[in-house]
Amino acid sequence: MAAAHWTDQLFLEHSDIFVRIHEAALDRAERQARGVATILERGSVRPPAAILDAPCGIGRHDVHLEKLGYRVTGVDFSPAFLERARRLAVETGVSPEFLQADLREIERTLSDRERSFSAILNLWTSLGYWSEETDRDILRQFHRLAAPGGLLVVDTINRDWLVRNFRPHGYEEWGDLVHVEERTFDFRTSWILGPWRFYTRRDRDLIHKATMSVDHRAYAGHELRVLAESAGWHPEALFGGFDMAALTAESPRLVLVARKDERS
Amino acid sequence: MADIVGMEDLFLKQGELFLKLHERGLEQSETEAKAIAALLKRHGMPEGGSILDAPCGIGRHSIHLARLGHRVSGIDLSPVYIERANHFRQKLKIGDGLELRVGDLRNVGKLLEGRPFDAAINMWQSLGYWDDETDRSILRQFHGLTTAKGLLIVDVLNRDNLVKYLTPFGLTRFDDGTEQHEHRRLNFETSQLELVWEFYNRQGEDLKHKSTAKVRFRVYSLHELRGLLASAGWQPLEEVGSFALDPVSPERKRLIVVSSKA
Repeated sequence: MAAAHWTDQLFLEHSDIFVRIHEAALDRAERQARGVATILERGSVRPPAAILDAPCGIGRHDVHLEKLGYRVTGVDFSPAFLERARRLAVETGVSPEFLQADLREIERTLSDRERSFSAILNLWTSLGYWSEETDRDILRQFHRLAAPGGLLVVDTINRDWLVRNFRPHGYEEWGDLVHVEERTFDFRTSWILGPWRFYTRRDRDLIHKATMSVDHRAYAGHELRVLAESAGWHPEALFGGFDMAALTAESPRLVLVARKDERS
Repeated sequence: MADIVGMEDLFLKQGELFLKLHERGLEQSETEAKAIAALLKRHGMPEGGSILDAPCGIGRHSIHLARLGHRVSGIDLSPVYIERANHFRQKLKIGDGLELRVGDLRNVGKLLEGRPFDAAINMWQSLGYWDDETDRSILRQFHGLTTAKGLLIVDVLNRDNLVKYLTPFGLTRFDDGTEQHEHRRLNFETSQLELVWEFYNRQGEDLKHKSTAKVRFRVYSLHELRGLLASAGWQPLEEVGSFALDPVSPERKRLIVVSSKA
């Protein structure tokens, strides 16, 4: 039997681990959400416009966007993430809508919401997990869910930054959770491959929790632009981050802004 | 500024200026030709097999491949280059094994119709001057011009080396007193390398401006070039990052991909 895809391992089977990684990113979520809001406003998407965030993880951007007055729908396929998202909403005193759905089938889940979102967000390198064709299909589904003239904002790791700054090993810890990453950059495919190992620190020992091969396609700016175009979107801008800085090989992030035709 | 020229003008009207750049490449060309022959042989090219070199420039590779015993056809858009190539060919006493003619790469399929080659080579970043679709069309034409077991070698700059190491300025001094300033920029929206060449004459300590050329061309990373080749019916077999046949990596300037017919 083939091993489960790493997204099932990391987001479902070991969702407790990834909830902690999401939580570690909580403190910068408000600043990021404000950056996203600035990008939306620049594209004339203002509160109380309806926004879809897919996948939303633990809803850390959604609660802040809701606070800014947007009507936010967050979609994720991990029940554990959504449970945490709902608690986060209570803690923050806002109430975005959270729905469970697989990104690859999002249109079916939201079949009554076609042409209804003024903006669609796909943040934190949430493309490239399956194949380029799947990514195109996801972007096509987003296109159908977007209102005429609606915006798409994709935030992903910048392949060209990786080319310059690639490190074969990574180490991070969050409290007693230790994450050891081994990476390979496959230049034939532009996929980043490699096992992620998680351990619990116990005194000086690292007790193994889980290992999964987290493989994903890394896109350069021009590639993401062409991909969005091939899914029906009109790219409007490429930025090096939510601060709308120019995209260069020094930008760790890559933010694509694209629009759906007014008449489609 | 009336003397700004585009790429095609540079090859045609100002061919003599660009000639200097080609001639600088002459010294390495024998080593490069030997590497090409070795790569082709490794993938089943018959002894003395026929090779299409398009575009061939001043024939740097064509001439050496002919000397190695291959039958070679070279085409280039620029009559100046073809004339220069003929000059070298006479100087080196190359016989009938080498045929050189003026012709447009985008039309290569028509120009050489019915002449199946054992291999086609496309050297020195000779793709990316138009758009991806034109590149695909050129590669498909090579497909049509080669035998059933035909091979293709494409040699371009490695985009990932530029991403990592591109410096914004380069300086070249030629023996005849010409000095070339190259201003470089990689456009991340289009993946084009944008070059501005300022040519000067050195007069004492002064640089007297001669002409300006603006050149831009699409640069590919390995996965993109492999995808492009596959979409034109070629099956990538092997890639190397230099004519010393090192592996491809961002540390290597070139992307040399050998393909066979899928």
